[in-house]
Amino acid sequence: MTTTLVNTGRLRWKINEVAVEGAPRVGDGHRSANRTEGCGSAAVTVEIAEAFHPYMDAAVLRLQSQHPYASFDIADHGIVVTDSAGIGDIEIRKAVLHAVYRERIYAETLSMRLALVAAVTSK
Amino acid sequence: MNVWPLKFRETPDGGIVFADDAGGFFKSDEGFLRRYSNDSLNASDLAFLRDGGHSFGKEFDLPWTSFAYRWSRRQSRPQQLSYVILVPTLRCNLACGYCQVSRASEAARGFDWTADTLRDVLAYLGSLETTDIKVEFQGGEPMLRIDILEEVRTFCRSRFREAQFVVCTNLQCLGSRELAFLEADDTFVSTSLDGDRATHERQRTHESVRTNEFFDNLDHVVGRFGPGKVSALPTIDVDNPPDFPALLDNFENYGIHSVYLRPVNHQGFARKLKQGTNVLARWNRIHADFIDLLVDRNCRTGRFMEEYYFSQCLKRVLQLGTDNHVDIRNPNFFASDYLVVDHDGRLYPTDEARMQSRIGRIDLSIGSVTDGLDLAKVALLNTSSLNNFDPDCIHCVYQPFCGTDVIDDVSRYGRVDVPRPDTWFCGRHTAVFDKVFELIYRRDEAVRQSLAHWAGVSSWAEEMAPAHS
Ligand code: SF4
Repeated sequence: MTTTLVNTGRLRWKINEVAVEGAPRVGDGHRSANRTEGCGSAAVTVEIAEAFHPYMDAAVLRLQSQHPYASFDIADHGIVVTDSAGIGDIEIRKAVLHAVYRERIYAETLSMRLALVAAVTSK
Repeated sequence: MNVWPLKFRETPDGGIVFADDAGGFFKSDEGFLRRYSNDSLNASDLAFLRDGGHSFGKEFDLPWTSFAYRWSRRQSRPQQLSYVILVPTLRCNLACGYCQVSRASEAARGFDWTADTLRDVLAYLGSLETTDIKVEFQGGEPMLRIDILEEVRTFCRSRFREAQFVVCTNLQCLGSRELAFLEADDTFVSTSLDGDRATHERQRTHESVRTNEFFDNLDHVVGRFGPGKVSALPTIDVDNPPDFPALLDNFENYGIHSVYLRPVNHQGFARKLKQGTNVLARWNRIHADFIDLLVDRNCRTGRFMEEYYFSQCLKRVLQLGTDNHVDIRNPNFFASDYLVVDHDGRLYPTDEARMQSRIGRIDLSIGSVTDGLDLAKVALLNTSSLNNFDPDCIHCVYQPFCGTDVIDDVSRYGRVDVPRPDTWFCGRHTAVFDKVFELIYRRDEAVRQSLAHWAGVSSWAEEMAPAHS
């Protein structure tokens, strides 16, 4: 007998006591980063899994302020980064994914934070 | 099971440090981050998070309440006003290069408390609700008005249950009256010692006669009153730092084992002109190297010295409620437990605020000893004095340990809404906490000995650096 997890959304898990084998499947927020050469400026597309699409807007806003010399655009399946001279593909991919992760974590746990602050500060 | 929000930051070795809002932290890796962000945590992840207090079942259950307690202990609570910095004179008998804006020459007139100001200051102190008080005399050179210092001390001793006094003095002139003042058990000395003799002379005394005066007086005070009486701070010129091993030897010589490194704090335009480019990065490098130097030296000699601010930040990571340093706490509400009374009786939230006002950049005074606190202005300043929901800090793994410094933002950028990562405060604290976590996870005996000493624990335990893969 071991524990499996049923994701109930909003970064919450329900624990079920059932028999399972091996490690649970590791989720994957990204698929790949593809670099394409255009006329003068290289573009990297970081593919983003669908579950993260609602957070791409906020992530792009943040990325743009953190890397003002690069350009970030939302495409069908991910975020396209151009003019990121000097930053390696792996670093770009990480920066983009981490930004998307952060926005999702923030959005999906905001109610927890607000409830905590309200409970602790109420008289 | 609900997981409290985790913030994260990559470390140079490819790992990732995570922390929740209550300051519970651990080190893991990209795999865990991916599982966490993708709602696909495994059983071992969840067990680890539960055991580490990063999760709860439902609101108000024991883990939730325990987390709420830890979170609330991470917030600095407003205290009674019990710490005052008094500036009875702006006059000084030295002219340190970077202090031009906050001093007047020794012979100047109109820069001391008048008899009326002294009377109002005493009345103001008398009106405080606190039973215990700490008074720091600053200047200028406060010893130039030993008469005022005596009067304030006599008043406080009779008015408060407990009173402690610190005289921030350059120790240039110590006559019998000044020595008698310092002799009392409730009175301490804070002075500047910029490293070895050559550095101190270059930055402060400028001529050997005065340098001799200072070191003779320091010898005398330490010899006569014992080492616990004196604390000293070095001010570091980033362009021309002192010989740090010699600095440590010199401090240890005087029985001072805590060294608070501070960069020269240029004001106004001097800041831009004098410091050149990349000053923050250079300062962070100097500070990080100094910490490594301390670790080596402590291990080699078996005699432990610390960098005061680093120890403070380390304690903020490892312990709840380390809010006694006014430069790093959150929220950092003004005039709640300490304030500054200037030479003209005006009140300021911090010494930096006093200097900003003195150079005419912005009026940050918050009342006077005669009229009391300007509560509306204090409230206005306080609106920017917490980091919890700052759009950058909310994503920052160091948020529970970090603080805010609105006055520093105003002083450097003329505004309070500069994105955090673009501020000196943020760059400085990101680097300090990077170093704290680098050491916490370095797994090196020499490091652990120093960390235990700095954190005030008898020895370092493996559980103090939780990790999960
Ligand atoms: S000021 Fe910087 S280091 Fe401190 S919490 Fe905010 S983002 Fe983090």
